[in-house]
Amino acid sequence: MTNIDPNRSGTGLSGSLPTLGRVAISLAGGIVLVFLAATAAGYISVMIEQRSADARDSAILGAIALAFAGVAYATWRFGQRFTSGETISSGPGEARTRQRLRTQMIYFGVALVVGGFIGGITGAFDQGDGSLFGKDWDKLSLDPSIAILLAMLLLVGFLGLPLYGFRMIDDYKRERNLIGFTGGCLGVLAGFPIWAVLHAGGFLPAPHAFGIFAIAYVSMIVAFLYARWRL
Amino acid sequence: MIAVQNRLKVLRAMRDWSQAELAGRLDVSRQAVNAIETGKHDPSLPLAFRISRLFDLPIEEIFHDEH
Repeated sequence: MTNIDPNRSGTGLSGSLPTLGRVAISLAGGIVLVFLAATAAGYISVMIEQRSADARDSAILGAIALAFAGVAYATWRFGQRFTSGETISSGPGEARTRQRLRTQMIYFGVALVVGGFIGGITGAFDQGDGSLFGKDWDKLSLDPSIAILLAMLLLVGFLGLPLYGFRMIDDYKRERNLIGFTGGCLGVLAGFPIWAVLHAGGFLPAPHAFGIFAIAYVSMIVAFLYARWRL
Repeated sequence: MIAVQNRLKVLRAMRDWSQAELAGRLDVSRQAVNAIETGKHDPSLPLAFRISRLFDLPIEEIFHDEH
């Protein structure tokens, strides 16, 4: 959500090297994406064939989707860095930008690992029939020590990383992110009572925790995308 | 709301800098430079001072409102 978006940081490449670099990155990224898509398709086809899906399947597919998104984003961003042969002179601003870029890459790596751990552990150690990110979350059953570990990881993933991410972005992106978070907050403030009265009127099932979480998440993303492209 | 206009694009063009290059010099994202140039975003005061120092011009010669 933080939408960290590094600058092109002046690699000093010139001539045919940028084109070669772009082609190599696009090719490598494309191969990995095809592999991930094929893996996901194969996994889904097995699930359909067996007519069963549990929390572990969700976790694995979630991890594949995360990896796909990460590789796609990295391919796009690193490909862009090779699209220009311009050389940016070195100064304090550029040095800070390069340092920030390195930190951002570490940030993405940590976020990916934390997300993978949460999904993987939830899927692997669930003793019930629930799913952490699903309507049946209350059927999730975990060993207390695993639950504490997951709570800590979720705290890192949903609180620590976003707050840390805010420190790495500039005013403009911080503003867009704040619009996104505001959208998420307003979505819940308006969404829950609307859902409740619609339930009272017999239109919808009773509000549940994951639904509220989903409203917040979707509202946040919609508001962020609106701020990004329309404001 | 008073719209703040600026000469950032002109000043950048005079130095033959790309948006990415200017962003690097200001330690902000290229999107931030683009948003400032197109009037979609007003820079913070610290960033306005950085821009002022970079172009060696007073802030009011770079940014001006409609009045």
